[in-house]
Amino acid sequence: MRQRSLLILTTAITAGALTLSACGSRGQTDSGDKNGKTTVVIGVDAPLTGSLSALGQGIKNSVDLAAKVANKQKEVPGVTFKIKSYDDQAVPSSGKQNATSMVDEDAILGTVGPLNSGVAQSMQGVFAKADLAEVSPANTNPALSQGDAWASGKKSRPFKTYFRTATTDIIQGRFAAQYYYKDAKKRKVFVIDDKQTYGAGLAKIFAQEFKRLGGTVVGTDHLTVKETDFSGIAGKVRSSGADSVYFGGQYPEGGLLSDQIKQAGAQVPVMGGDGIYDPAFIKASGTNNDGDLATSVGYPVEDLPSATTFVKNYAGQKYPDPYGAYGGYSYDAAWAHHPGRQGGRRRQRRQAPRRRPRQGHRGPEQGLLRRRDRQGLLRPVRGHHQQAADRLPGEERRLEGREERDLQGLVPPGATPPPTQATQPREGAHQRPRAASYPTRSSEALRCTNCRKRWSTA
Amino acid sequence: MHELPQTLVNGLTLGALYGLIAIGYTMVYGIVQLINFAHGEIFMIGGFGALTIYLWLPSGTSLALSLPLMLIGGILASVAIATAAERFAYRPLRGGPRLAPLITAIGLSIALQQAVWAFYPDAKKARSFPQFEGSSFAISDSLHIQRGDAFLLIAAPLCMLALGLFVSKSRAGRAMQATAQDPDTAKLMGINTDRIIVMAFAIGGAFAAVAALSHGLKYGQINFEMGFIAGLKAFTAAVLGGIGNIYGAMLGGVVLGIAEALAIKYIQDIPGMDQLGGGAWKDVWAFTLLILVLLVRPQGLLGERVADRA
Repeated sequence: MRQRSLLILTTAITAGALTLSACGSRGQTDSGDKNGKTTVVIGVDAPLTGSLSALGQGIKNSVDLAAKVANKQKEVPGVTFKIKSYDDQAVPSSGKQNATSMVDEDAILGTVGPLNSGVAQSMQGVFAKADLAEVSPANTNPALSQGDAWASGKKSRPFKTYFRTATTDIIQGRFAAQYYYKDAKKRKVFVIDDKQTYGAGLAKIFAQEFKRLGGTVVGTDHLTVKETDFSGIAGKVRSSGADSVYFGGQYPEGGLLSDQIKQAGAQVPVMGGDGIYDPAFIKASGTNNDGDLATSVGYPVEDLPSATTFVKNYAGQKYPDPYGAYGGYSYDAAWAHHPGRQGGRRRQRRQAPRRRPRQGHRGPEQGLLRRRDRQGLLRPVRGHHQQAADRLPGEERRLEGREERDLQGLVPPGATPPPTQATQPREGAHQRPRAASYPTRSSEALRCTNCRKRWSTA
Repeated sequence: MHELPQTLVNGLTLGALYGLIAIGYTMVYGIVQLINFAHGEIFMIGGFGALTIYLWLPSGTSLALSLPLMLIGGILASVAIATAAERFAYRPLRGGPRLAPLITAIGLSIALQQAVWAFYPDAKKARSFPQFEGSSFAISDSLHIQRGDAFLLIAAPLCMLALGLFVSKSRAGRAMQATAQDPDTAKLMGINTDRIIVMAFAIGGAFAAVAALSHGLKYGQINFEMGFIAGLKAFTAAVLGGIGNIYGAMLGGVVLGIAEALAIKYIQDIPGMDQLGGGAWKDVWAFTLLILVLLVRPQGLLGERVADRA
């Protein structure tokens, strides 16, 4: 019965696809025969210019690398992957415009990005209406995947098309508070944020947890992005008598802030999230920010055995910019759009007929894209192109292949899929983020406080 | 109240920085009535010019030796860009509608920013800038002056003094005042007004380069975006002090800087105002001050002294 319905499905899809390819609406299909080439475009949205452009370029290049690798390995026969990048300059309104352009672009079947949680907020709705999947490598604000009321325990996923490969600030912020209170024995913290979605949200989670543990928040202040003079805030930190500072924000301001706090005479550590986890933070001062701390949203890519190919391939492409803090997660985010990439052949076949992002089996972090979800995320479906989107030549062949082999009994019904290795960065994200300290400027290395491993940065 | 001296000094250094940049706005406005919105980027390019010289010098050169060379490098870069902007972007539009050069200035600003972003090596992130070795000068227990700030506090008055003497005493300076008063009559009197205009741009560029060097020394880094906020603040300072007046620009800068520093520190101590203080609101208070000043004196703090306009 099941096989029959599959047969019907396959036939229907093939027929539908043939009809639609006649109007040539999707991709640069053509050549007519069964091995015809289809181009699938993955849209990338990141700040490609502006002060966060180094991170944005890393995201773009990593997705580009994923596309190139997929093409080289002929991952999906007959399909060529391409990327199209959009620059959001870390500005939410630009992100929204980009999202609209991506939705309009028929060839774009999946998107990666953005970097900033604030930008993601403005893009989510646009993608959700168009049923276009968005996988962010770097957003950490919990509300993006758990709804605005997550803090009161009422988690609800606001947009079904939004996924991410980074963890959330709930883990990151609370871990930071626990580290300050329990390990570093800090009791009086001064909390500063940059008024952005990411920074303000992270600082709030940190402050709540720190107070819950019994610490005191002796003062709060806010700085303005792109400014350079924080001597006023630094003076307040000094006179508040705080023994530690927590900063929710990005490295361009964070580095200067830390420097100026020490210059004002307050010799206290500054801690921040993944936003300051960047060599530029260290470079912002001489020795003043030695001993500052940052949490990261995943295990350093350089130290992951599973990422060696990525690191090697990235170096081989001679991109002008390093892959940066989010390159590894961006690479994975791009692969997430790939049908059944991680599951191994047999499993792939088993799951091939499923073609909608499957709901309902997410873990504690709803937005955290897990391996099984990614298989479900075959490709987004939109509007009247639905059938064409549903069918890609590679998949069609796989469907047919599956039936054949099923009939031959190669896949016994009810067989459990072989255990597969979860991809590392995401696993790292599930773990406690590590507190990395910046020991010396000379080595310019971030050293993990737990394992003392060095994360040298390009 | 023992925090007050430090707060004032912080405000003063920040204000001196604004003032140095504001000179460029006010000089150009005084002579051609153009708001050169690309001036923030000329400031930024001065910083990169100085950095280029520093990187070109053999490493290990002491800062005392390299500082003058960096200053020259920064000034050359800024002046070259400022005069080129005048020659190729603004001069063809002179005499055209007032909005045309204004839009050109904004376009030029974006172009310069992106040019540095794209072509200067490693400029996509902040580049670190050399800093003075050694600790800050402790004037008293509660008052410390950083070495970078000290440079700024010495350089700014010296530059102002030199500019004041140049404008009031030298032949070219008097030609400048004449052009500011009435370009057509000045032309009839045999003054080459085109040259005077170029000179105004060049002086503005040189002051911006001094500001950029101070900025680098003070904060330890420069980036391609730093001209935007600095330019905006400096323009505000120029308006506050009375645009067209060079002393007004410096005074406006200092008033603005001190107002910001005081707003961060003290507004939230006023009962009932704790939500309206701190770094988030400093710009609100600074602009409230600007509006109040302009209500009372629409020409700015020193705007009336037309004779001193340069």
